[in-house]
Amino acid sequence: VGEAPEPSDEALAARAASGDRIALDALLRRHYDRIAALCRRLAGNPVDAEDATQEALCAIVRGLPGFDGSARFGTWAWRVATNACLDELRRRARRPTPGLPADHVAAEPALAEAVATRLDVDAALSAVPEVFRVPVVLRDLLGLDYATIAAVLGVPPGTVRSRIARGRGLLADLLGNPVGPPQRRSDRA
Amino acid sequence: MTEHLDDATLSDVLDGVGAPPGDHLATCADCRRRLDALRQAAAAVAATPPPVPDAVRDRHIAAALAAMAAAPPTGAPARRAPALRRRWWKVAAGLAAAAAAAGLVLPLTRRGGDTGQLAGKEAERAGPAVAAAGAPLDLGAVDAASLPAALASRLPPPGAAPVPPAPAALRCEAALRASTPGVGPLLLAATATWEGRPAVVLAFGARPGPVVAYVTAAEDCAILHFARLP
Repeated sequence: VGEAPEPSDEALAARAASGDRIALDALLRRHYDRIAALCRRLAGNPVDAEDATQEALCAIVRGLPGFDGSARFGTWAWRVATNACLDELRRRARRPTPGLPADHVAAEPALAEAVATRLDVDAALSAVPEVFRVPVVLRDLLGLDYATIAAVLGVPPGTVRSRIARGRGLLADLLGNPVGPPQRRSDRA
Repeated sequence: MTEHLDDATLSDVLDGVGAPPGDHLATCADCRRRLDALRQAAAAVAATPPPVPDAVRDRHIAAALAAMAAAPPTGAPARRAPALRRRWWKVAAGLAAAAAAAGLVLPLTRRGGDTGQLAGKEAERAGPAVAAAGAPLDLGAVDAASLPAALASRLPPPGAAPVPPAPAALRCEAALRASTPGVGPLLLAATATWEGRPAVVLAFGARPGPVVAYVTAAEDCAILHFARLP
């Protein structure tokens, strides 16, 4: 006797939106690892990532009534989770650092210093501007295609392509891989 | 001067999209090095971060379920007071902590001179279900609507010993405490049937005071329902 097929995300989401907690539990557990990984890479450290993950999960729960099935659940959930995660990280960034003056602003690692110290991936990613960091993480960590990333971020696929290229390029530089020769076309951009 | 490939073209090569870059890549060591650098950067991001501990995952999901219990996502989008629009999961997750804090009151209350009188009144209200406590409790078939009443008539009165847990409940109590350490003292653990499934109902808190009840699946202790009782 074959096992019953797993319900689709969309079916679970519909049941969860009507108050079915079993379906919601199953839906959240199905996607938890990838949501946590997304927030971990966007946050750059496990402490911020933990709160960001919680915010992302709750944002999905809050938003379920607005999920109308016109998009795949995954696309919708990545958009909600990404925005919630980034909102949480921005809130945390605005809080004053304990022990420092209220107006102290932590300096972002300078590119040259980052290259000199060969940062790990978390530190390097944190030095890549968010506008480039997010599509790189969506592409390389989650394996989303350009069209899905475009839907998640609400930008054209061409913009996704250029941002991923720019983000990977910055990351390569930060991770200690030498920039190409001066006449490289990307340097003129 | 040689016109090297830009990062966008090389990034396309990594993803297998866009027009083929032609012969240049095969003959240019600089561009191949740059392609390797981009590939290493992508691989570094692709490396799965350390897994989240099971206890943290379970706590996150329990808080999301609890938040759903506080504001069920049915019908129109939930409308909340501005103060609750953000950080509501912390409020929801804090219910367990509140129950734990209420639990601190219990030992003090027990020392009070009128505790026995209060316990007697509660016992009168509790009825025969509590008076007959001593055997593992089974609530029978319950759902979200009937659970509060099913629990209210069976919760032990202040000062009384908790209802002995059903053996099947011990494992789920341990699992819940592992993921939600702030749930406070156990008041009641019973078997039940929830939506046709064998379940375990766990109630934490102190009497008098708020009680937080979890319905978990008997099979794997997954949280099926969460409710806060007055």
